[in-house]
Amino acid sequence: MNIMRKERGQYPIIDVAYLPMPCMHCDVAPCIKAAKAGAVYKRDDGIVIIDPEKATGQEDIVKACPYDAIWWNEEKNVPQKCTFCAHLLDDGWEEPRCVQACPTGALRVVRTRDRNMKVHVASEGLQVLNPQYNTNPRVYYKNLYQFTQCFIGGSVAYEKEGITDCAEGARVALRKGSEKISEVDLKTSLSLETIVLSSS
Amino acid sequence: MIFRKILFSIILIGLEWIMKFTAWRHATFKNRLREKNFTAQMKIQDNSQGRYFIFKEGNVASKRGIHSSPDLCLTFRSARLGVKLLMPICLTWVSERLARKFLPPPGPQLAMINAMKNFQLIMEAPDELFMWFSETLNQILNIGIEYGTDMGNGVKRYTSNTNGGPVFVYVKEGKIIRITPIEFGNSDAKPWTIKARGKTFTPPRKTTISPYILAWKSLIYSRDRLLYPMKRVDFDPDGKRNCQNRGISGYERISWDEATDIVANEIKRVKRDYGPGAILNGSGSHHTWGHLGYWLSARIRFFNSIGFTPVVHNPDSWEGWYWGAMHHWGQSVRLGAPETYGTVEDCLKECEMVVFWSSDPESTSGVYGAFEGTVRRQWLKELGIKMVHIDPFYNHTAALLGGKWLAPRPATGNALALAIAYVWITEDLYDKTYVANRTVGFDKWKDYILGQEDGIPKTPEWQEGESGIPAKDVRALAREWGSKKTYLAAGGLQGFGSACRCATGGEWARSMVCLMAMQGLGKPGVNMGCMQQGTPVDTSFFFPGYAEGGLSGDVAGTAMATHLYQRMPQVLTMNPVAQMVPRLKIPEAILEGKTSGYPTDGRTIERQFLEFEYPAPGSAPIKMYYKYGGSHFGTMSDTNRYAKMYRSDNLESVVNQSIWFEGEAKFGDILLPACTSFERWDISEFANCGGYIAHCFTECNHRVAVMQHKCIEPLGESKSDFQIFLEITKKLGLAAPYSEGMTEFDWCKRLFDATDLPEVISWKKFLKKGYYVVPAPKEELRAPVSFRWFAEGRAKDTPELSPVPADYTEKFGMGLQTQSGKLEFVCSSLERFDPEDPERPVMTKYIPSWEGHHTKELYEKYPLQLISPHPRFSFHTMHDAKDGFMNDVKDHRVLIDGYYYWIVRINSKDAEERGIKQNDLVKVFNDRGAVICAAQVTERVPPGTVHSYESSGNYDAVGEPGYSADRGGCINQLTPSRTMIKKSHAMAANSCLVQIDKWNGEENISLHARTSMWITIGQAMPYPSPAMITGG
Repeated sequence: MNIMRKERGQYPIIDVAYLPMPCMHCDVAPCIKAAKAGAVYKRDDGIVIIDPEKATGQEDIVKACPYDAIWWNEEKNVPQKCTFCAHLLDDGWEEPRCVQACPTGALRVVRTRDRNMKVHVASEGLQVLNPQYNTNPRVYYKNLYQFTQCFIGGSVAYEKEGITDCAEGARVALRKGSEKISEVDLKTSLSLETIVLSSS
Repeated sequence: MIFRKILFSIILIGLEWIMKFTAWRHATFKNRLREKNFTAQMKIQDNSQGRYFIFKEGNVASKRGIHSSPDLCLTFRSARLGVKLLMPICLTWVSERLARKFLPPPGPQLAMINAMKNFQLIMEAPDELFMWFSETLNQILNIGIEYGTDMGNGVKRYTSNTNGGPVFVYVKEGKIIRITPIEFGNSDAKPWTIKARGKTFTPPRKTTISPYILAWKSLIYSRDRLLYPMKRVDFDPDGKRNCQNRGISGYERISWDEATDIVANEIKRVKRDYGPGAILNGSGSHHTWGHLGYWLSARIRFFNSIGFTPVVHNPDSWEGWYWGAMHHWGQSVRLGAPETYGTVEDCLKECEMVVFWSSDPESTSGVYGAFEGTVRRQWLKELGIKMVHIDPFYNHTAALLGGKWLAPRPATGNALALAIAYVWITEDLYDKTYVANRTVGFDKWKDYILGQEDGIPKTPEWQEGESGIPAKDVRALAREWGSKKTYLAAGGLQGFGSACRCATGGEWARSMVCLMAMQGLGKPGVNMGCMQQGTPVDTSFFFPGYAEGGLSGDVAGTAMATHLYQRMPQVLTMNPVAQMVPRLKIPEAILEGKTSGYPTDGRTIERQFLEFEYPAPGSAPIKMYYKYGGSHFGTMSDTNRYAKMYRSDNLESVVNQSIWFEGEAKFGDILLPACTSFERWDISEFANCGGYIAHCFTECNHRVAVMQHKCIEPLGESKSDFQIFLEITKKLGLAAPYSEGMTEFDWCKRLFDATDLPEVISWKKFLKKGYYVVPAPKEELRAPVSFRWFAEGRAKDTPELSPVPADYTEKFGMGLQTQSGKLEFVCSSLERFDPEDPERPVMTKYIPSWEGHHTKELYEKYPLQLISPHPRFSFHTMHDAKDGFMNDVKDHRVLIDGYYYWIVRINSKDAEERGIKQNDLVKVFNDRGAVICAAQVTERVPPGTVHSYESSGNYDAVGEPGYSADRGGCINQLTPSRTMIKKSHAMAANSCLVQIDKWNGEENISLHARTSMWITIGQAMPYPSPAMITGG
């Protein structure tokens, strides 16, 4: 899986986020369309599989993916991508390798019906990446704003009798023109809070 | 008396029948017997009783009496002794459980060793035959032993352990197909739970592993593996040695017999021609995991057996804590680091803020702690505990957890600390009662802080000129810290941190202790840590750590004297040579013939003052270098020196024992191929270091003891280190004392017997399953919080065996290891040693770095300050390069035009000034050398600071080694070799000035430099091809 890194802000107030990008196992997969002779197919459980024998030589499959999730294996002359560890799941594993290895629970695998998934998405505020591709991905993200939204940060200080100090209890508001979009109260003293405001 | 004689006879006859029976039942044993034809005599010393065994064509027969010329003779002082020593073997053969009940370990082994040392038991036989015979007898007890779990489809699942966590290893048809973390089963012990602030916190029931551990498959099957012994083509031990060609010559394959002959002959030759101490050996600071195979175990046993000059490690992880902080609070056995018991619970219950100062546990894993601490730090976030990160680099811990980031100029952290103290003093934000009762010398230090000594008050405004951090932020931090219960994490693991490895690392570490002394170290919510250490696991369950010396036999040079010497009795080894060479000065010792240093000796505070010199009086100069393991090019300082050193005639022979053909392996005369820990037997525990980091396993959510199964056969002709040393000892007549007649597997059982494991799990079960999770103790039995006893003026109640009784001034257990027994702002040990030392004053002061923004001339030439912390995607050099998976991690190496470059991180403004864009190839350089890297343009460092990890495993000089730029990424070529302070042996890597320019490829490179070496070797090296590595 590819991991993208994004830095937002400018020294000394910055934010760094990492975005895992597995295969999206799309419901309307461009790779399936681009493949000849049924070389790429979607299983009943939703996993999209490249048949390495049927897909031999089909470089077009690589180009078809708008998420860049498919690589070309030069040695084997075949396109490759995340398999969702289908062979392990079929063998009784509860989760793919990546989910198993992740120590923070940043990756989660859910086996459920479409309608239940919709409830999850709504209640947890999940989003797909690049919905404008219209491929109906099956990978959802939480807190995607860290990657896609604008980052505004700062600190508030004042000068008094020649000494500059951080402002205690300052209130910071974000405005678009005259419209106030959001506001943050600095609870305790000091700019030790990095204020993160996002505009959509 | 008669009874014993009869019993002895019965046992001897019984041995024949046991062997016959075993051969009949197990074909493997029958084949084993076929390997040798010989006669073995067992008898009483006065020849009054005896039986000899005839091994022929796979059969064994025995006859009563004394044979006229046996090939092997085992003599017992008396029949009584014979019964005593042989009975346990017979009993174990009948029933392990019975044997353990009537003859529990370490009894039988101790009896054997006592008999040998008192010459009551004598073995006469050639080494080769002795080893074969002894191993065969031990095999009888192990035959048919089961290990691993059948997963179906021809897949077997084994267990192993690494310095990044324990693992399951899946093997199919003799090949490893995948390596994963261990997920516990229903029968494994449940984890602990902590109740804090109305919530309950329980860690997940699995182990975590560091990312690079998942790359092990690619490292095991790497095409850079050394598979056969090699000899440098232009090295002839009987003729011309051509030392000047080391690093550029090709290699040819030789047999093990030839290789061990050359090595053994060289060992004898230098001792004969020059005397004791002519052989130099050192190792890296770490090793592939496993208690018995560790550098403090098998290696020491071997080198003690031949006599050598040891390389003394500088206390690399601890530097400023050892040379500096120790003088304020003792803690010498921990090399200046604090104890951290119970701090996870205390932090969850009481803490309001955590200051991470030079602390990146998400990259460093504390040490060996994988991601155990990560979930615990997430709990801090859940509780809304504030976090501050002080680091010139916006490190991975800061990125994951968020919080305020302060980026001081490298090596100015102590200015920042002094300014914090200033605010606390002037605004009454410290614990005056604690300072009055639990510390001494504060008033004098206070005067210094207020500027009464040098006229410079250490205000936040003052420190801004040094660190670059705005005064307002420092004042804000000091006020917040002084009014909240705050944990200070100095280093990912306490007592570590890059800031302790710079020109003034000592002063930084000292100021950390002083700040905590002002806030009341040990009070609820006031302690050292970031949840990385101090879980409520069972500290009373005994399992040794690697620092306890394994099978080294060395009570002086390892921590064996604490437990293992009694629990796993073994024949002692002792290096008779007193001469030492400091690791950072090996090149000077070789090239100049003399050097000096200070020891890393945690026995007491004052031992670090005892300067030593090379050569030692009466010792031979070093003529032979036997290099073992990880490369210095990527890990030491000013490392072009090491390349130059190799090509000197002063080093008559160089043996290199490594797993991969990389780094210093390319400079050896004889290369001995070692195998990985996955290809040999061993036994260990998750993150258990022992010794200088006692109870290191409190980094883990669970204590996990692991049988490191031999998952696959060693690749090619590679062997375990233990086995390699054994082969050499056979040529020196040392095989018996070296191995005690045991294989690595046999030693594993001995170590198992030495732990508390036999009380809770049988050897058979442990071997089969491969791991055991030690249950967490009841809440009432958890270790108390560190330093709480000190803060409350009570006797020490934490489970630490140090300080030794003599090091207490007051009653035993009362107070710290210092002369006053208290936290000392003015250090009595320094007053006794060298009160006028400007580099290490008796109290901590701000001292400008001897390589930094104040060294005007150098700074003009090289205006960028380089920090080189521990990498995130490798454990030092171990998982880097060598064609492994980690190369493809874009945050680790960048693939440009077919070459994987190391990364240097540079601020966008500095990059723009130099016309440098993302992924441009750049030259990072100063007077010491040049390194070609890929640039990562980032906001994660301030302008003026650059970041590049240390520990490249690949040294790839574009021209002459030692005299040209390195393309491999050994950033350590640029760091200063000057020791931190004159009276230390310490690395100051993070005081390093460099310049960076775009690299236009101006030096001549042979793109296939590595390949050309292989071409010299020709067809003799078939490696497992990538096709053999199946997906999984």
